[in-house]
Amino acid sequence: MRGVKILERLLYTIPIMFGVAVLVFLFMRMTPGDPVDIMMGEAGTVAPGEMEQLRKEFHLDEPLHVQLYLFLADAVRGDLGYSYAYKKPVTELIAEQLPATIELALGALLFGLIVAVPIGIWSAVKQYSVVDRLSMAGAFLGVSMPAFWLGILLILIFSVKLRWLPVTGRIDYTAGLQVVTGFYVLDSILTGNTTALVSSLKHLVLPSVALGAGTAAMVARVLRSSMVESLRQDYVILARAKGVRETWVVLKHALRNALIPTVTVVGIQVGVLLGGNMIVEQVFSWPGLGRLAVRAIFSRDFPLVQGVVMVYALTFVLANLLVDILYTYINPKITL
Amino acid sequence: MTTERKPLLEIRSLTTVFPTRRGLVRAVSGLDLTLARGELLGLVGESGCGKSVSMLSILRLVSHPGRIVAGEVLLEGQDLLRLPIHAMRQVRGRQISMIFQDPMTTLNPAFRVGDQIAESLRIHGMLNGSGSSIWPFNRGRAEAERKRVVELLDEVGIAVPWEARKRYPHEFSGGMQQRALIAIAVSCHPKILLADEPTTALDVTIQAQIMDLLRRLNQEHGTSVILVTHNLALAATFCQNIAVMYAGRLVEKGSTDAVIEDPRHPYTRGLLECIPKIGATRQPLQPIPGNVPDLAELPPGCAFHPRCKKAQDACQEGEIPLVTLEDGRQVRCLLYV
Ligand SMILES: Nc1ncnc2c1ncn2[C@@H]1O[C@H](COP(=O)(O)OP(=O)(O)OP(=O)(O)O)[C@@H](O)[C@H]1O
Ligand SMILES: [Mg+2]
Repeated sequence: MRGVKILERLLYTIPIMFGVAVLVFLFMRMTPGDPVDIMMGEAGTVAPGEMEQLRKEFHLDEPLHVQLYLFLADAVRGDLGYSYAYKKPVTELIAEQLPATIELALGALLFGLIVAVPIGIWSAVKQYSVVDRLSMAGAFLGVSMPAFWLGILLILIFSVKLRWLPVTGRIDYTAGLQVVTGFYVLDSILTGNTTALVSSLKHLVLPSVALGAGTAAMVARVLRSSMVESLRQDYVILARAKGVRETWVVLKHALRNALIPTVTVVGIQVGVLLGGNMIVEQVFSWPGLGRLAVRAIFSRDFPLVQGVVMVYALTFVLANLLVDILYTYINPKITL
Repeated sequence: MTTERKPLLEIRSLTTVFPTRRGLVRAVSGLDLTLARGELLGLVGESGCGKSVSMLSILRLVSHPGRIVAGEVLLEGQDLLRLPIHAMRQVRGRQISMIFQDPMTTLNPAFRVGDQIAESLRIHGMLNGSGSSIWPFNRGRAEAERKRVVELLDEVGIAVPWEARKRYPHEFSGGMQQRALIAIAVSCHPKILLADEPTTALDVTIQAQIMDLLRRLNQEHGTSVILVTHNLALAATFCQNIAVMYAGRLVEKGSTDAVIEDPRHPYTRGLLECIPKIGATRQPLQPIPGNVPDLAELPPGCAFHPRCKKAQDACQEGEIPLVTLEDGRQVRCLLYV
């Protein structure tokens, strides 16, 4: 029953992705700047025929609707084209960089939740206490502080000044990690390489904090306010009247209900963490999709931009679906 | 034995306050009330006179910023207000249970009804010993738990209880929700049931069924019940005794017949005159003049004196004692001192 509904929802993603594909295609053609010009500008002197040759190769000489048709026809077959700049299939480039981005997003999510969940609950229980006021001020700061600024600050303190953590990259190449899945932490464990594990974890810390700070702040605020709300409810008094320990009154009876609005925000944050990391990846030279996207945009690498944006869109859609599925477990009033 | 002569529950000068911006709201100010074993007591009074806060105070469940500042709540001679919190938890749901006014919001929407009943059983170890089958302990206990939950749902009159236990509260009607709450409340055979307007949210036929259910529990298990209501007629048909509250205090308590037929306190009389009698000749109803006093600025002396037809100068001064009349009735009024 649930399986059928999930399948149905997955099928809905097809028209959504189609729409995204058309939109991103059109937007890219509307941005000023010609990819071949930019490429040639980098290459220096060019023979006149060469530019024509390239345009033909990329189908840039065709009318727009023909280009769109060619792009969509390939996309349906899982072929997102060929990157102008890297001279490699787009799918291959994305597959190479995606694990890095997912690893960072998971690190940031983990950091966000570890910080936000206890703070959100504690602040709600001790409403208007010093702890509450301090953490909510912190949350305000976390929401309003730009990630790149926090990233630079963290690098200055923990890498440059204290020298505790590395500045950039995903791993020390001297650790000799043998890549299996592309998730370096996982690969280190799979290959039993302790040096690589320590190194990859150390590299992961600062970017995760920089990226996850906003998530932590967001989730803490939502969790606090929904906990405050559910702690006010009659069912909390009933739980106490039954003789339930206060710890369980909070962690079972109140939290279970407060999770309902919180899960929505966490779901949105998953999308944000996967798709909103361009700046943090740039600051920490993290070789992920975000950095790939930035480069692709600056070099008008149409196929690559289209590919990356479609991956972003897909993660958003899937994150939403995940939230909806989770919802049916948390909130008995809702069915898929 | 001394405990046999003592009342089951004795509340002495209970005072619960709420510090607010307007000042200190005295929701309950010096309440005295006793409840005997097996007694069905109706607690009546106008809205806002402190009935709910009194009941919550007995279980020490008054929410922030409310505070119990004085008094004693003696359960079989033991003062609940001085119990450490872990001992208090043993009282809640086990010795004294509460049924709330609004079943819709009182059940936890996120858990199955059966699990909410089972939680009470588990907390108070009501199933220990029942898992002593050849099955592994947990399996036996889960089985016993299910059986007991179904029994309880059946006892409170829920049809198809083995299906109903798997339902969520929102899948229940209001009447069924209240029955489920009663099942939770009686699951551990408490000595006292505090029923705070248990039928206000329900329609009249369901109301009668719920009251029947409470009466049956009282007769079969000897559970004492305090029925909080502002419906004097309901209290009169259901209860042996009636207690009348005004502005956070007890003003009169006596047997139902005595209080209804021959009210002594001017406030009780006023209340009775407000009630239309079915079948009686059409008389204009007599509302009590004036308004309920602001609990943050209680008048000195008897709080009722500004509205009382028989007020004397002395009513404005000092503490009015609660006197016991020859028929065992308690009244707090200078007319009887
Ligand atoms: N959280 C609170 N803050 C301030 N005052 C409160 C609070 N809760 C209750 N009170 C005050 O306590 C008084 C008694 O309230 P209570 O709920 O016990 O009345 P009640 O007799 O149960 O009335 P009703 O019949 O309407 O249920 C009210 O006048 C109210 O103003
Ligand atoms: Mg009330």
